Amino acid sequence: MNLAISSKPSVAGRMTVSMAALLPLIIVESVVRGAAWVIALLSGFLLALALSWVARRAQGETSAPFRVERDIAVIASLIALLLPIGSTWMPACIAVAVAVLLARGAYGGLGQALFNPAMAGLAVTNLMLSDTADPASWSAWAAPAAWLGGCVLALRGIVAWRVPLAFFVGAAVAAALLPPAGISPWLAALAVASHPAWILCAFFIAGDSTTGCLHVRARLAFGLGCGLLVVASDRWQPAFGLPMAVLAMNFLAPWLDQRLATPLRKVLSP
Amino acid sequence: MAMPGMADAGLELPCIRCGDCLPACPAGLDPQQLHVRLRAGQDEAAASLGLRDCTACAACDAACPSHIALAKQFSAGREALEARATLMQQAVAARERFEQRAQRLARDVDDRRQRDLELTRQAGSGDAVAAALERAKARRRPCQPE
Repeated sequence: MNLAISSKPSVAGRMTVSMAALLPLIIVESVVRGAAWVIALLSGFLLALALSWVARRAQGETSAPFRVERDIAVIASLIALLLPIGSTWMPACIAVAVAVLLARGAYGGLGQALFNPAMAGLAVTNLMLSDTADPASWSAWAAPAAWLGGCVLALRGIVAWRVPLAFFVGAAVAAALLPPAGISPWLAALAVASHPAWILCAFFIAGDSTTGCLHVRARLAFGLGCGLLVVASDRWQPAFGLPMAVLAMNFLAPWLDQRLATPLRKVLSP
Repeated sequence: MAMPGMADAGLELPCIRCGDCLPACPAGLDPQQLHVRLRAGQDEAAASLGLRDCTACAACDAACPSHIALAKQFSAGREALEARATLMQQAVAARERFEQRAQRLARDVDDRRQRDLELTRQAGSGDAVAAALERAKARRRPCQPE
């Protein structure tokens, strides 16, 4: 089944749509979080642009910056959105540098990363800020804005709908099994869909095809695992949970693809 | 800003593993894995994934958002496999010919050695000498009158 409402865009178009899908959340959070957060976002974005351009020049590529590698804008935005409370421009720049140079550039650039670059950058930053790190705070409008962006991605066919669906199922199961104190399991499971960080994770992070799975069953398992691990690790350590859980599932993605590949050829062959 | 679906047409970008080529393939192949294997020079691995079953319909090309010329790559991979198979057949045939020739030569040498041994043995035996002497005496003996 395909939920896409029109022909799927090219790679550059996908990045453009992904960035556009993040814009409502960025606007809402800019208003609520204030100028310091906007400065951190812009610093990270400009640094990502510069580092990507330098990396491309080092590889001998001379195409104009930001012509094709628009994913760095998404990476910088995700990092800024998920940074711990009170982070200034410096942690944002460190996270972006790790993401663009190590997690993305060292593997060969666009489409080659093994680990989600934004999550790798966030994991390093969270480890550096381990004494003071608290999870990102969100405004009341963040969840609807994140849902809007996620639905755009799913309807445009940029994200396979199975991954977010499986993510929310896994997250709901984990939340029901490990409900916060004083909240019933059913309510905890329902509350999963209103957590902006988890909505972002479901659509923009777990839904990233480059570091996720390729085959249908593997995608379902990947989303399910992400949801379970994100919520379970969030109960253990709220600031570290999300990036570490996604990185762990990124590590398992090739194995899942190998084990759960749909044998289409065997089905079709007589 | 580039329009979706039109941006950078003709500019081949790296595969982003979106999986759009999987449902597009009418032969049920995994074009993404074939692409990865062929790029890595693993022709045999690509063959084991069904490269020879590719019909070159280019449906994967149309589905690929990175504008990768997959069908062309698969055709080149198939041709490389066929060329390698032809070379292998020629090499196997040449080796068989060489081995048959070597066996024939060895057999000839053995035959010749056997013949020489037989002649030597016949020449060196006491019976042969006695028979030759008898024949010589018979020739020298005068004819007796009736």
